[in-house]
Amino acid sequence: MLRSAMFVVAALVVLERPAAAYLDPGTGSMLLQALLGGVAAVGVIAKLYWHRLTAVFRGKPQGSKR
Amino acid sequence: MTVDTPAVRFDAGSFRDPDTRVFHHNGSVYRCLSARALADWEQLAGTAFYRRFAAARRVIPTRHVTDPAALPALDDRWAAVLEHERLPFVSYPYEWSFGMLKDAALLQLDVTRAALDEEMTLKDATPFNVQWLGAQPTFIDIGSFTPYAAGEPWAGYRQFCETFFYPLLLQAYRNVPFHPWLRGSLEGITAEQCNALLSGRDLLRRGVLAHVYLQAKAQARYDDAPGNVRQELRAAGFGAALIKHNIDRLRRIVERLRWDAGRSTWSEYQREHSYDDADLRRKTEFVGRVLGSRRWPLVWDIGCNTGNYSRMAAGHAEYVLALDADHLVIERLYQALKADGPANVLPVLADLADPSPGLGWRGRERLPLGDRGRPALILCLALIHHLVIGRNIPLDDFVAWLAQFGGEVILEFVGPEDPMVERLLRNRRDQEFEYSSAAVSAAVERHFGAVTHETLASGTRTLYHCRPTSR
Repeated sequence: MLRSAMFVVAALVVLERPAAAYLDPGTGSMLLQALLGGVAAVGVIAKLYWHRLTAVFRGKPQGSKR
Repeated sequence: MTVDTPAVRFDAGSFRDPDTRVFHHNGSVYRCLSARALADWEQLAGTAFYRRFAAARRVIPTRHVTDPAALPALDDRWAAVLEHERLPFVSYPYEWSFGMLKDAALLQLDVTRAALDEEMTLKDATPFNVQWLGAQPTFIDIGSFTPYAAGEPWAGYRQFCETFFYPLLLQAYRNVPFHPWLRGSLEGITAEQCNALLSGRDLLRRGVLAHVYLQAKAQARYDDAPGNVRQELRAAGFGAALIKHNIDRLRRIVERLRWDAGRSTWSEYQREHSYDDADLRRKTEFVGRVLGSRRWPLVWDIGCNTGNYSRMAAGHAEYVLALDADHLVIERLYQALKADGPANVLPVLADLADPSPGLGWRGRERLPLGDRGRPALILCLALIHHLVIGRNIPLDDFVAWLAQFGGEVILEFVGPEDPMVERLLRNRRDQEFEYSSAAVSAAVERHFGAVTHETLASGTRTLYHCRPTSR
């Protein structure tokens, strides 16, 4: 429990620190990683596509989040 | 901090990550950390995997310097200093054999996998972060460890493919040596380039479809596309479990990669060489006498072949570099050292007529071979004819090159009537080489202070022990 709480706190701190990624992981390579995740990847890919699809109906073109 | 401490001498290859830089002081290796990197280090130092890997020296043993007063004054942006165990020699992936790059790749994957189990990850995945303690790889970039942020992809995946995986694939599947490529591009081989080099049939081989073909296609399609993929992945539930699965599968593929090299020019030397037993015994005694005369900090055995003399030197030296220009020779030596030691011999693939130059930013990010530690003794046994006749290096210039390291040299001269030299000369009869016993004697007398020599019984080979003028 304590460990989970600590992890959440650590994650919150970390999320504020994008500069730690000094290396560009590459957009295509990042997306591919969703495919390489085995069984757990199925849901992620479905959601990824669902978000992209519904973004069209929400009237937000891809890339508007930037 | 005092103002009269000497300026910090940063390592020329340590600048890519703004949060941590390596510097050298009084022969020791330090790393300064930003406040953020200090927090990362404190988290790392508290993990079980770090203690486990450092104890086995699979990650370089490191300590927090609690009293930095003796160190040079540091800029305010540095919050702390670490001291790393000093490496005996720094080598680069274009100087490693297939098995060395493969073992380095497995270590990189193991370290990353273990870090993820304790909510940490690595910022990158480059073979320059792996170094060698003899035939044992050790991960040196403590600054690469950082907390894993939920939903983040593996930052080093593309780099792992470009600098470890594709070079290994090309050697294993196409027998294309990775060394010229890694030496020509420190960033490695891109997915697109690797894909272009593989055939349609290779798509059926392990790892090619997903990591090469699909990655090349994904990069071509998405790398310049707008949008925040990180955010999309996080929202879709991407997480460490997917990275672990990818790493586990990659590890199995790398583990099973084999390089079927067959037989190279020099790999059969031991069986074919032209010594008789008496000559070999006298040569071994001569080398043994010089080796036993003192303790040597660093010995180079150039043209090491099976590494017999490197092994002899290991008993009298802190560290031995076993250099050879033949990939298969270095691979076999690496596997033999890995199995049976000794632990202080590093096999290095090096063509001395074209040794590793300075590369990268300012040509100093990766240093020339000769700038990474001067040998106190060079064993140059039955090699000189390959450079003088085989590669047209002027004899006097070669001896001058040996002398400029400032150490001692054991030089074995193989006369023009020796069968090995005859073989080198068979297609070169039209050329004049200044290659004679008299020429080599004159050259060593010119470039060294004290020379003793012994001619072997067969009369075609002479051993010289050369000492520098200043000693």
